Amino acid sequence: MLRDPSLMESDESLIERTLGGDLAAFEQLVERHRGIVFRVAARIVGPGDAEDVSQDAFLRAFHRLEQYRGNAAFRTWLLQITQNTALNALTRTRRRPTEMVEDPPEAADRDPVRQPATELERRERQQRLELKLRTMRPEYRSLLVLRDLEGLSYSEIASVLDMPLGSVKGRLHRARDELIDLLRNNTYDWELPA
Amino acid sequence: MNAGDPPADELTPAERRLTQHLELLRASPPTGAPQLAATVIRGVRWQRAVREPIALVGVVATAVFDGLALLFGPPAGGS
Repeated sequence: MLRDPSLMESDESLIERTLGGDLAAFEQLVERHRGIVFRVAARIVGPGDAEDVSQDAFLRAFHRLEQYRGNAAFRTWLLQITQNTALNALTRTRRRPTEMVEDPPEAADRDPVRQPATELERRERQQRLELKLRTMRPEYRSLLVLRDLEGLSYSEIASVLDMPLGSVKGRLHRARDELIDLLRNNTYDWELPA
Repeated sequence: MNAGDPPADELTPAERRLTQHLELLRASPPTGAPQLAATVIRGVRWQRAVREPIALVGVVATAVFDGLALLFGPPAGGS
């Protein structure tokens, strides 16, 4: 059930209560932002490690909450921690992203009654697209996820990635070019109707 | 699209095509476990429980070391 946002306690108020020792307030903050944190983590490190990265990001945020100055929205600050945690996790594991992607289901596993052919094809294309996304270099991947999948503004992305606004636009262009090239390598995917 | 952002028609044809492809991912976002908040709070409690005794041990160890240095170390200002 959706609640009227005007009736919701602000992030700032919840932060103040958390700093006063109220863990229930921090739990509300986690509940409020867990969706976007998990989605960004999953798109960067893959679904297998996204849960750990999300937890780690929230724990780091909790321990650094006193450092939050309120210059940017709490979500922006949290996404900055999330994306740093995700990139650190990638560096630490040194795993190639392709290892984290499950193969599309085999033909024998397909249930034609429950999964019509069009739905199966859509899922397989989605998996291939996720694989291509995670083949991109991590810093470009973050940009593309924040802008083209999560719809953040350029200025919010500049805050999250701690870079000038002009650099965000230039790098985003290059990031898109990289993914376009990856998709064009598979002409079938590129030509298919979206 | 957010206020202050360039209009969509600044996208190249290839970028517009890419946006259409990415719609597939936007339509099916990954969803995390609903118990994430509870797990995080358990982690916070556990870390707090561990941090405080460790910090206390650190304070005590520093005090003991300072005391021993005072008793057995070279006299202050001595040459």
